[in-house]
Amino acid sequence: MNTPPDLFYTSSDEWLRRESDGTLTVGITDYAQHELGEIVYVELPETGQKLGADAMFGVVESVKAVGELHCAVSGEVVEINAAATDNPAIVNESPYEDGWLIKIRPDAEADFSGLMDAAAYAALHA
Amino acid sequence: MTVESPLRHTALLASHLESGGKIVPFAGWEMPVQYAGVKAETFAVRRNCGLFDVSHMGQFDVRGQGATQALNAIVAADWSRIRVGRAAYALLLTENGGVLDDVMGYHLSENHWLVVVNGSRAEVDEAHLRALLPPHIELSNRYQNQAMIAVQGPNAQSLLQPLCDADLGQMTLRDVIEAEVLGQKCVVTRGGYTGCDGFEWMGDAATAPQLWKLLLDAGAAPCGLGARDVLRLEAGLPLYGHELREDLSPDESGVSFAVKAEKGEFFGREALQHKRQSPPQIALRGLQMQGRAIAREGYEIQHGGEVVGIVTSGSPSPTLDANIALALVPVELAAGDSIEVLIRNTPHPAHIVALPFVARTTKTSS
Repeated sequence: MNTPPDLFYTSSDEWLRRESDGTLTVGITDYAQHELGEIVYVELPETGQKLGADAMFGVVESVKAVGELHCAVSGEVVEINAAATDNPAIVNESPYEDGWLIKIRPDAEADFSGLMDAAAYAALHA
Repeated sequence: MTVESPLRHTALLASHLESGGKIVPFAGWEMPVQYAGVKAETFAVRRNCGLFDVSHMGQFDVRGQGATQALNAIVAADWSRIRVGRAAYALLLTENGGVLDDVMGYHLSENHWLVVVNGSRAEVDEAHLRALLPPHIELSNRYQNQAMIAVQGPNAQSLLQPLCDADLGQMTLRDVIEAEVLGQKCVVTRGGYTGCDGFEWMGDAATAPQLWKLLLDAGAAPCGLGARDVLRLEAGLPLYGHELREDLSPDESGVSFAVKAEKGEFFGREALQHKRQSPPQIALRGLQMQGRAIAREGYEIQHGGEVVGIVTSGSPSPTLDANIALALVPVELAAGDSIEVLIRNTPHPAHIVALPFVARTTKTSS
């Protein structure tokens, strides 16, 4: 299981990366893509949509399974990765790079306490 | 507190782990859901040959003078017409005329049938059969020693033939023989649950791992329950717990072909005949999604702005490269009509299409 040390993680198997412009890039972990198997469908929100911390913001689906997406941080969707919806296989091939899903701008009062570091996330699936 | 009974495993669990199978709980058993991936396994069956461990299915030997008549008084099909060496599909009905299970019967000799039932229904079915069979008919459950492998796909015959003493080329769909495979007595039937040509082997658990390995070595792909479900859906075949349920009549589930009400008495007939005095309001139909969103079991169907039905099974179809589903809808909706599937509160357009989604390639004549 590949768990890059510079990312934050959710208990529902998403990763988040703090970008220099203050946004957060969100995707699913290598563990999640492996558990789902071959991803055939990705559904993402519209840009501009406001997400609550617990809100489901989309799905990634394999032939037999539906994975619901949550990012654990409240904010506004500022960009979606159209490459992932056009070619869902890139989420399997490159979950941390080309297969990212959305970027959000976290709310001013956003709570980051629901996130884990790489060591804690790796321990969750050890 | 909840006491969970331990999961049972088939004689092939070690084989599945060796082949990289992903194991999940299913009907009280540890079963492989996939190996290389559901799409790849679906294509392996359609183009070459795939192996399925279906040892979790219930296998009951029913023996005794008049076994055929005794079973025929229970099943809704007419098994009095099934000669020795032939297999037949049948429904077991509840006393209310719903579907208790769907089963296959293999007429092995004059007074001997092998009845194979869904794994999830094996206990219910065994109790049902024991309660209804007359005392001189013996039912024995093979579960201590059972194994069953489905060898499916256009190359199934050529892969299985070298291991079997009987001429498989003489068999057509739903033929059944007692033969020797790897020198061990077993039952071999031509058929399966994939819509493709193939065979099913039912034999001793001790023989299963070697047979599995030799078929893999010969070029077959190990396939899991995921691909099995996709293939049966593509073939438009109903599955117990999804399309077939105790609270649905065979007419509502699209399996009225399996009811021979004119044959005489059988369990559940009276209630079913009573239901049939008024025409069914709902029917099972095939759907094809127009977009990329995937219909799944439990999603609601909308028509004219109202919720009118529900998806019973849904999946991407690798063979068609489209998203397909079976759904219960008002009987007046038919092939060509447009409906919408509610997916995460958004209506997605779909067409009702004729079944099966993928034409069957079973070997119906030699």
